Amino acid sequence: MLVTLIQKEIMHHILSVRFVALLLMCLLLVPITLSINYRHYQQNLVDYQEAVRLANIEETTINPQMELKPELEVSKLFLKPSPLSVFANGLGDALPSYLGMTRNGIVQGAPSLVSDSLSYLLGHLDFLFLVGTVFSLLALLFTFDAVAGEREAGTLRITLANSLPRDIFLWSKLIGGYFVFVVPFLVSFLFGLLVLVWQGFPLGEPEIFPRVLSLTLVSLLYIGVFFAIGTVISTYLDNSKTALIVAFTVWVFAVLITPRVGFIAAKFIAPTQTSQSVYLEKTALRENFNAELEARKKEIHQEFWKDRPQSSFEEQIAGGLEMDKQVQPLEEEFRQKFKESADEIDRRYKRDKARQEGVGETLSRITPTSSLIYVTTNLTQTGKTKRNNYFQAGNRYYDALDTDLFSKVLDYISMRTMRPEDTVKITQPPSLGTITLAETFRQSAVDVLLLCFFAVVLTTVAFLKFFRSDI
Amino acid sequence: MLETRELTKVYNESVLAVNELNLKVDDGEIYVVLGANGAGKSTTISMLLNFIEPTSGTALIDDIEIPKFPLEAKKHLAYVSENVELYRNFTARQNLSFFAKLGGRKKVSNEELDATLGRVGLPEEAFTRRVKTFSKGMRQRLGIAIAIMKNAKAVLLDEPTSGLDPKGGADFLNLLRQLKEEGKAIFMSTHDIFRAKEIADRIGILVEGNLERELTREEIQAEDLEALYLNYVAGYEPEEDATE
Repeated sequence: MLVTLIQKEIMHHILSVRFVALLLMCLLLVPITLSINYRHYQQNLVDYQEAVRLANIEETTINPQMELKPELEVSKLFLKPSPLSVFANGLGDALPSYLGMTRNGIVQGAPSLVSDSLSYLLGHLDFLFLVGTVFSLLALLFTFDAVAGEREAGTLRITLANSLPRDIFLWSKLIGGYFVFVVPFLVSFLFGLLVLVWQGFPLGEPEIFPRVLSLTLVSLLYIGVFFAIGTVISTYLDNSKTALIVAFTVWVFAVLITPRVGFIAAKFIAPTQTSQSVYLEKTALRENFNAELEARKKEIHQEFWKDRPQSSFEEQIAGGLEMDKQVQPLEEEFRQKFKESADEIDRRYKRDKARQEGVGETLSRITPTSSLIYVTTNLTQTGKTKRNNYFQAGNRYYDALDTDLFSKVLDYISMRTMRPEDTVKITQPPSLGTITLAETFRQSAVDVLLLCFFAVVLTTVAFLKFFRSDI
Repeated sequence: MLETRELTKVYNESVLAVNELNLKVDDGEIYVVLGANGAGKSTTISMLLNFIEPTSGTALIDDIEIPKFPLEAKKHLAYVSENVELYRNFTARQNLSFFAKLGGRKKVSNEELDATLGRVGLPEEAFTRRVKTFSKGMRQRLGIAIAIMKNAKAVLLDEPTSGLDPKGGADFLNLLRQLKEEGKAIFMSTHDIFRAKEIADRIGILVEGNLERELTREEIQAEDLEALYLNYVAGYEPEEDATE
């Protein structure tokens, strides 16, 4: 019985106009999008390699005795594009192109969207967008009339006038519709992957293939959630036109509005400073400390030279070196004070920022689209995890440079004597640590579970409603 | 035999749709229930098919209690609705084949399908045509074909002749007569007095959920059914009006 119903359902969809629309969308959009994004990735990779090459040509050694301006970028940690960004660009274009290491702290290079801002205005077209936006809408178009349409056409009554349990009927709707939907989707995705491989995409690599497979499974789960949403709407409404309007409204809120509202609300619930204001605050702090240090040094200077107003040149050199020795602990004290205060500002900013982001992330999870975006961008290494990894690597690199170089720089000395033996080699930027697939899933567990939860709960609601409703 | 015992349906604990309905439809009998819109005709059929649960009372088909054993009971029931839309993108043959399988037929040959479609008067060229190109009359014939294919003991028809032209209506009644001759218990709801008079072995007049009157074949022929019906439905008494 179930097989007969599923066969009918498949046939019913195949003969409909929406199947043609789905087929066109799948066959045109998926391979083309993947192909275009692979070219985009290759371009980004060339830019990255060029930037690293240029950075390596620049000075690789430095003498701490020389004057080192606090805002000078001594070294840069570049963001390497992920090959998986062909599936989901994620934060790729929004993250700083590099993290510049200065004595004042880390400065961020302009993200690539700055140079491509007009296209950013219109949004990025990638596989994640297709699944999250286009296929979710198509999934609703496949299901909004699953029950309402049959009810309206009278076929529901004729069908259920037979010895047929209601759950079998609804299962056939879900399975048949899902099957018809998923087959063209998978075929087009497979075709897209073949195009990618032909272009040189390293699909077979152990770091890539399991992630692409996981991405496919998560996409199927997400489409399943929208099938469940459509079915719930269809069971609650008698009229397919009304069901279509409700389904479209739900889609607008679930896909377009709610994910954005979460972070807007978070800005009101947990406001923070901007990164620029934090940088300015630290600069002002350094200037204050410098002014204070300058005043203290002046006092020492006056005290030191008070008893020897007209000394010889040799005595002045010896006196200068002597004074430097007296000033050095003071400089060290102020450097430490500045570091502690700057660290406190950074900690406060990061804490506030993390809190705001946490609130936004949690609120946005009301809708399955947010969960899909979080899981997918984690899988493609273009999301939050990649960003955190990048900034953590930047912080580690800064700490290493601070120990090796910045802490040895002397700002206020009477005479700078450059000795070759003082020259230090600038520590090379660390490579960004890779996250294993297991670790990615551990970090995305909440979102995967939420998608499962949505699918199960909504399907259950649809069944319960259908069991209880009059035919 | 189709039977209802004190069958009652109250919607939202306040709207009485069917009130303690007792009726029997024997095998080879056509029972027509007459009533205005909202009289409870469709609700009764819905309860007979377990589309809605009765508030109290029960219905039986061949002594199987429909509310208790709906799946078993539905094996013996066929249904033709007022507006047989069916699957518009399927051909007549595809629709019939699908519903025949749902009705319990494991394998149905094209010959058998075509024979049934021919029996209900569909032209041969329509067998492989999509149903969306069919007229209402043709769809109703297909609906009857579905009921025939199921070969159920009882056939329930919910206002099946509404919207049919005179020829279509007459052809439809002929099909019902054939089913009656095969020994099916036929329960039909309508507000078409003339067709009811033409086909019915017994007529029940349903007013606001109550079975106000039952007429046998002889009574149907003897009485002025239209006047009687109007009298029950609207309290309209034409004879008295005429004398005044």
